Amino acid sequence: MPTPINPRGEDNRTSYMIQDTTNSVEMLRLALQDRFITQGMGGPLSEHPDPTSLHQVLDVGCGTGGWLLDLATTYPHMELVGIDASWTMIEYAQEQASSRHLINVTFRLMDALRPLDFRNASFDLINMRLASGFMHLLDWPVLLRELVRVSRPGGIIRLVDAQMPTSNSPAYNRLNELFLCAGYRAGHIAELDKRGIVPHLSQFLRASGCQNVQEKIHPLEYHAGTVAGESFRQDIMYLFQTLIPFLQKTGCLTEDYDTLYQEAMSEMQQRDFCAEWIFVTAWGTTPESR
Amino acid sequence: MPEQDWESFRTLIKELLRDPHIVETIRKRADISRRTLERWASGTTKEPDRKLLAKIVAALPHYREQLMSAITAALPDFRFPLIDKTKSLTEEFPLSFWLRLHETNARSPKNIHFSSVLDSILLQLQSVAPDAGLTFIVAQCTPPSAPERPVFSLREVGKMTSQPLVSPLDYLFLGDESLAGHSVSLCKAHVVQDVEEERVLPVRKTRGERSAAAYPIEQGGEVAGCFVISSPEPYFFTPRLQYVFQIHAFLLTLAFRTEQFYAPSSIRLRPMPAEEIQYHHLLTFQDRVKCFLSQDASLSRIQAETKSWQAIEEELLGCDHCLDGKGDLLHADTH
Repeated sequence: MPTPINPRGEDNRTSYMIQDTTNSVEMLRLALQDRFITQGMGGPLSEHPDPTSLHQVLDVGCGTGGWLLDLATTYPHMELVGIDASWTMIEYAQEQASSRHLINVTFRLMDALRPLDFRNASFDLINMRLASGFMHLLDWPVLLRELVRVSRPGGIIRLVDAQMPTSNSPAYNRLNELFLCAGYRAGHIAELDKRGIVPHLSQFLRASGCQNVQEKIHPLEYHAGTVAGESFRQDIMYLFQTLIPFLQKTGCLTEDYDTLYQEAMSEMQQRDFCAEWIFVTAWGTTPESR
Repeated sequence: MPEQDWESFRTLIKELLRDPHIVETIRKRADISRRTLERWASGTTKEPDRKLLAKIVAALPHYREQLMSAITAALPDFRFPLIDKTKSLTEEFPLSFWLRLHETNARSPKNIHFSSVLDSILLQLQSVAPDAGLTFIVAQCTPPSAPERPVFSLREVGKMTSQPLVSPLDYLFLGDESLAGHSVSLCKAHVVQDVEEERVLPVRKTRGERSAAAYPIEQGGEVAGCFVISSPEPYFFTPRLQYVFQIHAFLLTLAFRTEQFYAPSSIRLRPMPAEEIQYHHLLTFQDRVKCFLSQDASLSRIQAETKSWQAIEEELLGCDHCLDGKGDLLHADTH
């Protein structure tokens, strides 16, 4: 039986680890994840001393738009644009902006791995969070060149990514090893290192010509029996279901995967479960002259 | 036409204007600015627009009686609409949400079906409900350990809150001492507008809760559990919000399987002990699961988990240290 055509539109093919971006579970996961990560990091721009000086902001690979919507609510003077290659994500993000009556944020369907449909020097701040999910190693220099182009001279490029979480759950740690294996084989990370792309962020910025490159580390902790711990467990519960096709494609899916998944879910509900997820924000300013 | 008396209305608005928090709440919920309120208070505006009057009443449920009394003194024929017709329900329930929900219901894998349907509904609700520190709770009927036994308790199985990340979040058993249990027993929605003043309906004392609403999750006259909304504000539940929450309770039936619904005649909830007593029993859950699995290799993990919950429920229903000196069950502190 042929696959029916969705009259609302089709998503672009992307290199995102979650193969089916129209998957409503993945959308749900990202919407839930946005909230506890931004809050855990102390807000959308916790490292910036005075965000009121920023006016035009771009979020690349915005997903369900949570980071941008938080920013739009906190700083109504900003004009914000989110782009994502997934039509489903953009539709959801736009709907959230409407329901919150936010008129200073728009979302556009755009693939970050192609030339961006913005004029030179358009933005004061460009944000890109957890881009290692869709970026191959070779993509970073190309995209950063493009981000420097659309940034105004002296604007900020901000990259946020995370190490692989560590925990006291053996089954969950094992799932993370499979994820790491798949990320490595697919070319998203350089080596089988739980730090993932994090050690390279500052280097990417410097190589693109950014100056005053700085980093801030956010060690986020999750304990069972707290709001954060429960949010984290939900994220993992959904992630390791939607990730199955990617693990399969890269040959990292093991025969005991279902058992491992069940054990991990069970261990994460134990009262003494705790995990640490280290996020790193790296940012730099684009050259004044080009 | 009788003479309009706006004096008490203007006095009340002046009083409200003294509290910046209230002014901000009015701005957020009713889109009425401080300047407009000042014009009402001073009498510069002779007769405020009736739609705006309905909006301010809806925005401040705690002041509903005072506002209604002051407004009807000036406009005797003023009637507060049960449902705010100035706002279309499609804002709360956009078409794309329905499509996503049905897609999730149809396509999410079996082992995450319940969670994904539940989270889709609660996430949507959280994005349209007022940002007021609400907690949404879904409690499910605990399956009886034998077919001839009735349902004795509910167990919290899903929660979503906008409270800080460090806040505790536990999943408890609830019985007829709770608003949820009472609603399930009677198969009827209940709202408590101020838990500190409530004298009729049972309410478990929960930190920070001032008002609560409970809606049974029903299908074909049978009940699977209860949807509870807890608010830190008294008089939070406006007629419109009650309607919106009721619709979400209807939607939550999608998360449950047919066999998880019970006829009202087979539900006989008992009181469940206080949180601190439950806590020690809940800690043993994972060990019990492991024990059941090692004893019977034919059990699936889901079956072992169900048996573990049933065993904990059994203990909570009759545990010795839950009894006081007279043999009465020490249950959760209720009003």
